[in-house]
Amino acid sequence: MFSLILRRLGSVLLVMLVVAGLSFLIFNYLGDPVNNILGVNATIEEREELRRTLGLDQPSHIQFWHFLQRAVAGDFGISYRNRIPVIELILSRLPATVELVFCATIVALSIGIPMGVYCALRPKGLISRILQMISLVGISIPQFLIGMLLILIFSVELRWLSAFGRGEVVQLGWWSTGLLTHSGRMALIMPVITLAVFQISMIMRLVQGEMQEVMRADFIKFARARGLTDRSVHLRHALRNSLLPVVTVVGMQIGSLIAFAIVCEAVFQWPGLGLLILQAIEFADFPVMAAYLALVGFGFAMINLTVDMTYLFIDPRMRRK
Amino acid sequence: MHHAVRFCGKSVKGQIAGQGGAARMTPRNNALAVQDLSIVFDTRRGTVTAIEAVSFILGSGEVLGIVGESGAGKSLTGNALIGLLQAPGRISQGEIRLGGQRIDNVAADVQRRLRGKRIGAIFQDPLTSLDPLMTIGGQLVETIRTHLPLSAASARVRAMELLAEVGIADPGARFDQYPHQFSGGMRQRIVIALAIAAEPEVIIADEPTTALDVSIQAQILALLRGLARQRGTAIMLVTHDMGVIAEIADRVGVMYAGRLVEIGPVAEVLHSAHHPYTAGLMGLIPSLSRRVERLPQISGNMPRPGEWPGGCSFHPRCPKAGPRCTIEVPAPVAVSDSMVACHLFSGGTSVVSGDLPTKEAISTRETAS
Amino acid sequence: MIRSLLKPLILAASIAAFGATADAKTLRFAESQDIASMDPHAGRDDFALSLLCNVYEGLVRWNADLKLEPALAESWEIISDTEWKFNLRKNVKFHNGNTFNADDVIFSYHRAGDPGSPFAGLLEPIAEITKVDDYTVIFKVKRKYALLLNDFAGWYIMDKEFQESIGAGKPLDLSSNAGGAMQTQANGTGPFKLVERQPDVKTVLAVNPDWWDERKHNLDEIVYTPIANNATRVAALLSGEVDFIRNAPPQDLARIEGTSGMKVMRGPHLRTIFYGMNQQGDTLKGSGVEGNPLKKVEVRKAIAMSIDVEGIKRSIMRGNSNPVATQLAPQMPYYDAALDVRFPYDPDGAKALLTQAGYPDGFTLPITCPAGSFINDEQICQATAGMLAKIGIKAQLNMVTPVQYDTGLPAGEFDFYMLGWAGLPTIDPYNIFSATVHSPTEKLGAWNPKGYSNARVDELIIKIGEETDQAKRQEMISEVVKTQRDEVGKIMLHQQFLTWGMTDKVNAIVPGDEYTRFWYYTMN
Ligand SMILES: Nc1ncnc2c1ncn2[C@@H]1O[C@H](COP(=O)(O)OP(=O)(O)O)[C@@H](O)[C@H]1O
Ligand code: SF4
Ligand SMILES: [Mg+2]
Repeated sequence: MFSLILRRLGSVLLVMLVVAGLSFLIFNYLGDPVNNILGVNATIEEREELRRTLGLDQPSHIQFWHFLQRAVAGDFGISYRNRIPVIELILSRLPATVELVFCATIVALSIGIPMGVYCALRPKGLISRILQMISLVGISIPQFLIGMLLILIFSVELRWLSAFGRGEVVQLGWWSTGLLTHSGRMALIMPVITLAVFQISMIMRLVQGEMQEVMRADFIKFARARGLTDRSVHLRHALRNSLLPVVTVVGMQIGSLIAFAIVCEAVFQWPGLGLLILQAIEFADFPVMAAYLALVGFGFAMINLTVDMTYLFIDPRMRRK
Repeated sequence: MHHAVRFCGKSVKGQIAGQGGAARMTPRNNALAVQDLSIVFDTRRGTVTAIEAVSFILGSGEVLGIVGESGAGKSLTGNALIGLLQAPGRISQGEIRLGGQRIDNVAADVQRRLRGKRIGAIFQDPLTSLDPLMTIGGQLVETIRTHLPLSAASARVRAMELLAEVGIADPGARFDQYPHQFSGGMRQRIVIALAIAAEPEVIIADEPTTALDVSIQAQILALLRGLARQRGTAIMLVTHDMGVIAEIADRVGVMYAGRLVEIGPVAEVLHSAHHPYTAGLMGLIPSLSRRVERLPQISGNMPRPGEWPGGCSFHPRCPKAGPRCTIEVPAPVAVSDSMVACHLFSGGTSVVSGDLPTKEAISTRETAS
Repeated sequence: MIRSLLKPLILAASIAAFGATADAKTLRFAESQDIASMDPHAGRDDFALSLLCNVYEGLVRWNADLKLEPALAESWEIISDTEWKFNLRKNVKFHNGNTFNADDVIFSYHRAGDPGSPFAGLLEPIAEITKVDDYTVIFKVKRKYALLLNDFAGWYIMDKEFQESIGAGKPLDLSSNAGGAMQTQANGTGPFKLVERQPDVKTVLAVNPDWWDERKHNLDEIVYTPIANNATRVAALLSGEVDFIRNAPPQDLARIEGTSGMKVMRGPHLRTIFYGMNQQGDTLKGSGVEGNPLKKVEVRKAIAMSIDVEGIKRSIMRGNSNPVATQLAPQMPYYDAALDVRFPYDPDGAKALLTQAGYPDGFTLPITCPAGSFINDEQICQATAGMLAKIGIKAQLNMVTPVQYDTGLPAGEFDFYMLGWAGLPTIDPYNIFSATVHSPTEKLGAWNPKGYSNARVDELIIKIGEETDQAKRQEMISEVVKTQRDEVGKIMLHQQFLTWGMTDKVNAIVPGDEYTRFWYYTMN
């Protein structure tokens, strides 16, 4: 198990390296930040001068090498836009995204799984059909639209919820949380729903499909033959056995939630990593972009690792190795 | 999945001879009585009958073998008995009595409480019968506590005893292991332990050894026979392996196309089958020790539900069929120690009539066998 | 324990959120992005300066009518062709209480103008600064220079002691964390002072009670929130969460105006939109014809005549534009109405011109369009493509992001591109000419690569930068404008309109440079 973790960490590093390398290649096509720093009135001379200062006149593999050298020492550089260390910038935005994704995942799981279980047990019932229809809609509506719809209803028409921002946050060390204030929790509602709708639908469908499959398994029939209660058969045996693929997909989903969060954060002006990377792209803020991409690669890999560990935890058959 | 009847030829005669004395014509004590049981499927094209008018009695301490080609309706019957018929299947007619009380028309929850407590079940594949994510101890304790008012600790003690009883060495060490850590034979022992956890009066064993190695089969069968002999458990053993029947059954029922065509003491059915279908099955005994696709003496296939021909379902394949067979469904009649559903024993195959079988008709059985 | 710690925080928060008292006037203002920092020297970034002008001030400033007026300098005189003397305003305090004096001006000159600083280009004409006394400084310029005051309006004075104490003596230092301090701190002399800042979340300004100037506004507080998404920003206005959004999206104007208690204030922008093009290259990549058709004035004129700018105004700009014939918006100083006459919209005439130029079958024209830099830029490019098709020119649209555009255009990567120029922050034709009309050189014509080039015009532009006599400047400026118009150096489109959405409570001014000069605002 220990060697598995080591091997995984090795591949994590590789992923991050590849991601960062690729991002440097992409940077060349994104334009450069010179105009944003010097303004439109700068002369050609000034532009060239600044490019030299920032090292942007170098070929991208050299830039990448310099980036690596510094990154190894934990220095991801200074943001061109905000002029503060990238690490600081990312850490300051991380809590908002993590809280959003965390809440959305919890909501998605706690709604999606029961819905999936219900539909698996009564696939032909009216409620199931309605739920399935809703989930189809949930999967197909673009997130942006859901967000705007919520804003139109709850902010513009009803004026119940704020259309933007995180509300008031409380600082706990370097972590900022919106969970401890009323306005912070209210602010979470719409972004979380927006982010969770797709996940709910997906988890529901996944759980339903898996569970229907498992319900046909011999051990379920045998569990019934043993006289176990429906509850025990459904939840302790059928659901648990359905969860393995759900864990995988949810793991991947958490990863993609971080990516999805970009849209959601833009719609609700949620001051997280998604908004940060959007601004960074707009500004050609390469240090931030490189660090973000490396971080996301790291995040994905860590989630993968966690998924594998969860497997070990859930499925005894995997523990043999 | 088209299982053919198979027969393991090893020491059949010896087994049968050895059991001859134990076989009884009528069970001493009716643990389970099935009367006129019919099962239908509600399909889009209408209702299809899959089991029709099956009646038999299962006595305490008895092993009743049920044989028949794949698709004959053996599992369906077994499922009906443990109350696990799955939609769209349902019992359309008949009664099932456990210890004299009807269990086919009671509430789902009452039925659920009977399962495992008074009727246990064992299925074909021990590899897939156990929840892979739960320790075997957990599954035992869970079953025990569902049916018996025991504390977790005493349920654990009881689970260990059960494991020991079914022949798992070192139950203490194996209690917390998962199914994948056991061999197939071991797993089937655990399945049996689970089935008998609450000491049911009846066990429905649906092909319990089919998936196992021959050497292990014998051990499992011995275990089951021990249950019947020592605990007085009534066992209905579904199989398409004549060798298994010969080894442990007291009586045997033969199913063909949803009907019980013959039932009687094992020696009688194996050696002097009455029903032409049974006779065809037994015709295989001396010549075969392996699976065959179908009965070589008898051309054609067993019809699926919904495709049954009128009259005796066997008539298109029956060498002895007569005009009556195509029109009238034969009712079971007592022949010797058996019950047989064939016109040969109820007035002949040529006369079309609804009369009760006459002595004359019965006497034709000599020619039949 | 935690509770008691949190309580005051929450209380403070709710007070901040809902306004302290009933009649405190808080202007809640949303904009598409946050400013990069509170440092007015960190970038020559009109967007940042358009907000920071409320916190910092220069020696001079633009008033509501975009006329220069004294600010931190009370008065000035031109001592010689190359020497300007500024008399600084006395009794001006920075927000932290420090006194403003000549040392701050000198500090700010070096901070902004030293090599390597983003403002070095702006302050390049200055050779030397000398302190005469605490309230008098003399600037020595390298050559005769007409636009010193214009430039100074965009160069803000910072407090020497304060900047040095927080370690932010240099604006563009990417090797250390020096800029970080300027994220959340500011110490200017302006009408509003920074009281709270969470980058990308919100910035709160409060009225500076010790401001040197007479207070005409009645705002107590300004809460500035970046909301990147257009639709959300509009929703925030409609839901009453903000009072004021700059640059309301064109498609939402009707909705805002149709909501009771909301209005849209409009004003002409100094920016005019046009197509620039490669008039130097001997070939035109991808055109499918020999040579470079754009070199021929007939071809350029044909393109100009093929564009139905009134149609664009009607159906794309929904009336919010003003077709122009020259790069100078009517609100720009030295605008010459007599020259503002467009070529007629005449597709048939255009086709004839093309034939005359030797392209009866037209050619293929790659058009680079910045997606999101100018109002409705994509739609206008698409419409242009349709109009060009009518005279046989097949347009190939190439949409690029603003940052790709900003990089690629000065690098000469595009052969036919949409561009807009406002002449900010100088607010003088010289700025427009030197950036987009002068032949490209190391120092000038950065936004005119491979573009229009005329030696006489180049010569005039240099003189316009030096000449201080208004009449002489007017004459030269008009000549540049006329020459370029006649030679079709650019394909002119229109002047953009500013459309600012706000609640009825807000009385704003909408100046052509987009600056939010809150000291002119009032709230009912
Ligand atoms: N859901 C169903 N719908 C229709 N027919 C079914 C269904 N389930 C089983 N059957 C049919 O019932 C018959 C009896 O099946 P089964 O009892 O499993 O046979 P076996 O004797 O092999 O155990 C088979 O012909 C099978 O095709
Ligand atoms: S009833 Fe007729 S067809 Fe059926 S088994 Fe007897 S003889 Fe054959
Ligand atoms: Mg079966």
